[in-house]
Amino acid sequence: MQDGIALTTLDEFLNWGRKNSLWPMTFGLACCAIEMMATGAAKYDLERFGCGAFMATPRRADLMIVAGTVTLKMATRVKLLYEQMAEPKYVISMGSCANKGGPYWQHGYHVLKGVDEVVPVDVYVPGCPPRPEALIEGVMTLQKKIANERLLRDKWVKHA
Amino acid sequence: MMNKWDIPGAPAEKPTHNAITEKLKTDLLTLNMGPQHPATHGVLRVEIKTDSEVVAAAIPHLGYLHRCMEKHCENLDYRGVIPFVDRLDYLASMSMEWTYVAAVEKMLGTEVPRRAELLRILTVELQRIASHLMAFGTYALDLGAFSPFLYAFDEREKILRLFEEISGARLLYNYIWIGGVWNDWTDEQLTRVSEFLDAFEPETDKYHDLVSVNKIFVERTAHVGVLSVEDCFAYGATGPVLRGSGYKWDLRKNMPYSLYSEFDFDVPVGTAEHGELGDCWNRYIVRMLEVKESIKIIRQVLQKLEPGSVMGKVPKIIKLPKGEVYMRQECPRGELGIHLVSEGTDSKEPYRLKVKSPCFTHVSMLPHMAPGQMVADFVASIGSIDIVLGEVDR
Amino acid sequence: MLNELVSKINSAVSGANASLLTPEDSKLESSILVDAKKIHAVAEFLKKSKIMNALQAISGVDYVEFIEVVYIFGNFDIANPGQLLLKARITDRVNGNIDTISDLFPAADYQERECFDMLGITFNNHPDHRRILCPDDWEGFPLRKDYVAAKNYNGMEVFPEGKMNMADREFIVRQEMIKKAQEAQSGKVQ
Repeated sequence: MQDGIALTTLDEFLNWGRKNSLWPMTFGLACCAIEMMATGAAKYDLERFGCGAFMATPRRADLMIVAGTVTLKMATRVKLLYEQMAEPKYVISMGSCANKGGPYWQHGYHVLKGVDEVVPVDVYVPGCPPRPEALIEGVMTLQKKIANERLLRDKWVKHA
Repeated sequence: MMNKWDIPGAPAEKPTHNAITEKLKTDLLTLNMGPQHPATHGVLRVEIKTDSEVVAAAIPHLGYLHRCMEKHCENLDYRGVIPFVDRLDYLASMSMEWTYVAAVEKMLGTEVPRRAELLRILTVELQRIASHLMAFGTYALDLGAFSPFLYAFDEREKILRLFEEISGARLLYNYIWIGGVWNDWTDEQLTRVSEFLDAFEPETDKYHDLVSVNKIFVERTAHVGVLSVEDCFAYGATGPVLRGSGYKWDLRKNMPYSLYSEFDFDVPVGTAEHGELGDCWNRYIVRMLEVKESIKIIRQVLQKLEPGSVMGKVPKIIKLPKGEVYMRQECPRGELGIHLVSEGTDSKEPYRLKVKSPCFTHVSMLPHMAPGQMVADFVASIGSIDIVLGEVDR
Repeated sequence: MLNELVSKINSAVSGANASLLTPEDSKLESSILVDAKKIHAVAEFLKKSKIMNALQAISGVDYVEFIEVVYIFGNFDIANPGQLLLKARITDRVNGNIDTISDLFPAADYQERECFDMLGITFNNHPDHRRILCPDDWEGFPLRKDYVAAKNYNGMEVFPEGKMNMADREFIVRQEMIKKAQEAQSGKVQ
C-alpha cells in the first residue's frame, strides 16, 4: 500500500463505483413522494448512503423510485421515462400502490395494478406509505444486488 | 408586472402578442411542462404556449393521479371511507378526515364529547402548521433556495413524530373517527406539544428573516400572478388564495363549526408589505401568518382540555337517513366540501360522495393567471397556489 | 328562508318551476329543484340579485331513473354567509344535456367538464367540452351506477387475475359455487 496501490477485481471495482453513486430521479407521483422527500431531507438524509443526488431529468439518473399510484394515464409516461434513462438503470417500486395497486385494487378502473406491468422492478418496498427507514432499506437492498453483478462474465442482461 | 418591461430600449408599453407575431412572423412554441417536472408538485401537466420567454396561454391537463376514490367510496361502509379520504390531500390528512366525519355526524346526529372536539382542533391545527411548513419549504425550493426546505422538514418531522405516537402513522392517520377520535393524548404528550410550540415560535421569525423579506425572494414573487378578489369569486377560490387577495374570509370565523367560536384568533390577510394584494408574495405571507394563528389556537386548546371520554355513542353499523348534506371546512389549502348522499337506512354505503376540492378550483385559475407571465414566473405562480395533486384528481 | 327564495325564483324566471325539496329528517339539507331547461336563467338571477356570489362545485348523482345535477353555490358575503344546493334533473341517459353556466361563473368550466367525464352529461355551449380526469379515449362514464369497468386499456390489463391473492380467488370461486347451488335449488322449487 506504500504507493497507493490496491488490488481488486474489475467487477468489484465497477460495482463499488456504481452502488455508491446511485442518482435517483426526482419523480414523485402521490403520497409516497412526500415520504421520499422526507427521506432526502434533514432527518433521514439519504445522501449518507450514496443515493441522494436527486436529478430532475431521466437522462442523468440511474434509479427510478416509483413513489405512488400509477394510473393508466400515467403508465405510458412512466414507461417513456424509464426508456429515456441510460443503462445501467434500476427501479424501486415504493408503496403498496406501485407494488400491486394497494387500496385501489378492487374498484380502481383507472389504476394500474402494479408498476411491474410496464417496467421491470428490482426492489419492492411495502407500506402505505413506507416509512423513510423502509425506503432506505430498499435502497440498501438494491446496493447489495448491484454489488453482486458480474458484468464481465455474464452478458449484462437485466430483463428479458 | 410592468417591471418586466422596464428595461432600457424596450418599448414603453408591453407589446401585445399579436403585434409581435405579425411583425416578426414568429410562431408560438408549445412547451410541455410535466407530468414529470420538479416544479409541478406532483403529476400536473401544463401545456404552455410560449412566445419566446412570455407565456401566451397555459392549458392544465389533469387526471394523471385519478385514483377512482369516489367510486371506491360508493362501495365501502361509512367507516371504511375514512382511509380513502385520508389519501385525498396527503399533506393535510387530519383536515380531510374531519370534514368527512363531520358530514356523517351531521346526518347521524351524533353528540361528540367536548374533549374529542378539542383534540380534533388540536390535531387539525398541528396539521395546518405541518402543511404550511411543507408549502413554505417546497415553494422556496421551486424558486431555487434549497436550505428552507431542510429547515421546514426538520420542524415538520417533530409534528409527525407526535402524530405517529397518537395514531401509529406518519402521513395517513385514520385518527379522527365517527363519534370522536381513536386515541386519547396522554398528559406527557400534551406537554410535549407545548414544548414544541415554545421552541417552534422563534423559528418562524427566523423563516421570516431568511425568506419572507429576502430580496431575491421578493423580486421573484412580488407583482407576479396577481388575482383580484373578483377573480377569486368568479373561480370560486378559497383559503389562502382568497385571503391573499385581501378578502377577510375564513370559515372558522365566518361560519364557525365545531368549537371554533370559543377561540380567540385573527384571520390574516395579505399585507401588501411587498408587491400588491393578490400576488404570489401575499399568498405566501398569509400562510406564514396563519402558522402563528394556529399556534395561538393550540395554546388555547391546551388550556381548555379537561379529562373526559373521547368517543361518543355511535351505532355499530352506521346507517344514515335518506337525504344529503354538504359539509364545508377550512383546510390548509382552502375550503373542502363533502357532498354526501345517502340512499336511506337499508344501505350501509354512501350512495354518492363528491369532493369539492380547493386545489381543483385553484388549478382552474392557472389559464387566467398565465398569459403575459415569464415562464419562470409561471413556476412561481403554480407554487403560490400550493396544489396537491391527490386532491385535484381524486 | 328557502321558501322565499323559491317564490323569488319563480317570479323572476318564468317556467323555472322551482320547488323546495325537504328531507324527512330535519338534520339534512334542503335543496331547490328547478327545470333543467331554465338553469342558465336561474343562475343568472342568483348572480345578478347577489343572492349567491360564487359557485363552489357541480356534483352529479345517478339515481338510475334520472341523473341529478347539483349546483352548489356559496355566498361569501361576510354579513350574510350561506350556501345553496340547486338541482336539475335529466331523464335522458343517452343524450342528456343541460346549458352551461360557465359564462356566468368561470368556476363552472372545470366542474362541468368533470361532471361530463364522470356522469356523461353534455353541457351545451361549453367552451372546451372535453374529458378532464380520464384519458380522452376512455369509454363509459365511471360514476354511473351501471358502469362496468373495462378489462383492458391500451394493452394494459386493468384487473390482472394472476396478481390476485390466492385466498381471495378461492373465496370468489366458493361464492360463485354457492350462488350457482342456490340458483339450481330455487329453480327446482319453481
